[in-house]
Amino acid sequence: MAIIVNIDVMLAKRKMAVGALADAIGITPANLSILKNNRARAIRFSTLEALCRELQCQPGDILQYLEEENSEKDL
Amino acid sequence: MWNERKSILLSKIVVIAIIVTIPVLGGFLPTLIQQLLCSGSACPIQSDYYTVAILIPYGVMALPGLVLMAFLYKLLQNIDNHQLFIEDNVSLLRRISWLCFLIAAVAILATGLWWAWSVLAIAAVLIGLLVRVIKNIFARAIIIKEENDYTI
Repeated sequence: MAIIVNIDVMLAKRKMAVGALADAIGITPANLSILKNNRARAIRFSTLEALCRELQCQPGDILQYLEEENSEKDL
Repeated sequence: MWNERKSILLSKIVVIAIIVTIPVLGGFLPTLIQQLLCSGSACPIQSDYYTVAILIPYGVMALPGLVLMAFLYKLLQNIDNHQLFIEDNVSLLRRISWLCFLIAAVAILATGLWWAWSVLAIAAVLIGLLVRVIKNIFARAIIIKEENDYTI
């Protein structure tokens, strides 16, 4: 996965629980877990906006691009 | 009140009825052919030929036909269990389409014995193609559903 979701890092910085964040942004803990564990295929702008609002951060603090070693370009 | 569940139940009943009809019809087929071809006590010489020309292809096509119906029943059961966009259904539809093509191939070969088998061959090819298109739609729908499920 080239895009990494760093919600757990932000949660630790803000000393916030996963359940509390899920409640605050209005998604289920299961969906937040999918997002946190980098299993999500896409993220809605509305979700990203809510995450930034509750975690008081920028999208770049949550999302990170990592170049994959064995990407299709290299093959 | 008519609803989706009753519609599926009706489809299941029809499938079971066809599963029962295929072997039963096979058993009565020689008598039916004789009755259709023979008027009174006079039977044309070709009646035996037509009995063979209809019975043998029917027997060969009956087995894939029964398997096809079993797959169709399984598909209806999955739909009834609200399992619509799953890999199992795509696999079932793929197998159903290949069985249609198999029946069409047998029917094409049997056309040499009796011209009327060509009607079944054309119908089976068209149904097979239709099922294949539906299978492709289901395969794409699974991808879209997965994308949707994992969009947070």
